Amino acid sequence: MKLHKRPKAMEKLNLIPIMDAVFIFIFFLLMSSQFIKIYEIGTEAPKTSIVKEETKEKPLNLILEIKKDLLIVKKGIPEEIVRKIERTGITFNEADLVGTLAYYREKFPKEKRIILRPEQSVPYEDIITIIDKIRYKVDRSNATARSDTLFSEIIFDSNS
Amino acid sequence: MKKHFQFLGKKKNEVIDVEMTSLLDILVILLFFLIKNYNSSDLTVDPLGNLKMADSTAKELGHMSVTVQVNKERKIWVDDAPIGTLDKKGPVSDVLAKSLDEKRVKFLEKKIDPTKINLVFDKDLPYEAIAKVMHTAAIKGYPDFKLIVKGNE
Repeated sequence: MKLHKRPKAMEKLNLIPIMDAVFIFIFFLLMSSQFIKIYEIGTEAPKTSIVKEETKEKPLNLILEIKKDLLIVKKGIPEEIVRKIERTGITFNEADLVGTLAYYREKFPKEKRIILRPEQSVPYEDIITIIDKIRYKVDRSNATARSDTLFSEIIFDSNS
Repeated sequence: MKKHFQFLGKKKNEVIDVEMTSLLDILVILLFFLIKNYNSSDLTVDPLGNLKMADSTAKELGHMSVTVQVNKERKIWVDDAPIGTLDKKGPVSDVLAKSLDEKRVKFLEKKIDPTKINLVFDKDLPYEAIAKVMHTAAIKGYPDFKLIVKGNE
C-alpha cells in the first residue's frame, strides 16, 4: 500500500533577529553619519632649510602666482616666468595649466612641491579650484577618477 | 455555549502573522544608502555664521584637531566658540593668537603637542584674511594647515 506523502509546508524564516540587527545598525549609522562630505587639503607654512651646495641638479622651485585674471608660472632661483595663463570665462584655461605643470612634473620626477602666491584679493574658492587642478590630473572622461599626481605638496608663500 | 467560549479563547492566543518582507526591503535600501554615505573621519564640522564652505575634489579625510572657522563677515570661531572678528590691521590677529595660546596650554597639560590645525574659511573670503589666519597659526605653533573643504561629487 502506497502512502501519500504530505507536501512539506514551506518553513517561514524568522526575520525578527535580522530586523533587530538591521535596526541597531541603522541607528548607529544615523547617529554617526555626517551628511556634508568634508575633506581636507594639507598645506604647510614655509620652512627654511639648508641646501647642500654639492647637489648638481638645480631645484625646480615651481611657483604659481594667482592674480584675479592671470596665472603666472615661475621656476628656478632667481625666478623666471615660464608661462602666463589668462582667465577664460569664469575659470582659467585648465588644459594649459595642467599641461605646463605635467611637463615640469615629468622633467623633475622627484619634485612634489609647488609654492602658491595668491594676490590679496583672490577669493578662497578660486584658490581651492586651482589647488584641485594642480594636485591631480583628472581623467576627463570620468571626472571623479584621478589618473596621476601632479604637485601634491602645497606651500603658501608667506611673502604674498 | 462551552464550545463557543473555547473557540474565542483560542483566537485570543493566536499570533498575528505580519508581512515583513516589504519593511525589510526598505530597511536594506536605507542601510545601503547609509553605508555608501558613511564617512569614517573623526572630524565633525558644523559651519557657523552662515559660512559657505568651498567645494573641492579632495578625497583625504579630515582628523580632529583645533578647528578655526572664519565666515564672510570675518567673525572667528575656535572649536565652535566665538572669539571675535579678524581685523584688517597688521599681519597677525591678536584675538586668534590669544585663543590659540590658550588652546596650546590646555593641550600641553594633557602632554599633547599639536601642530595640526583645521581651517574652515568662507568661499568668498579674500586671501588677505586667509594669509593672516595662517600666519597667526604658524607663529603660535600650528604650521600644519588642513584646509577643510566640501566634497563635490
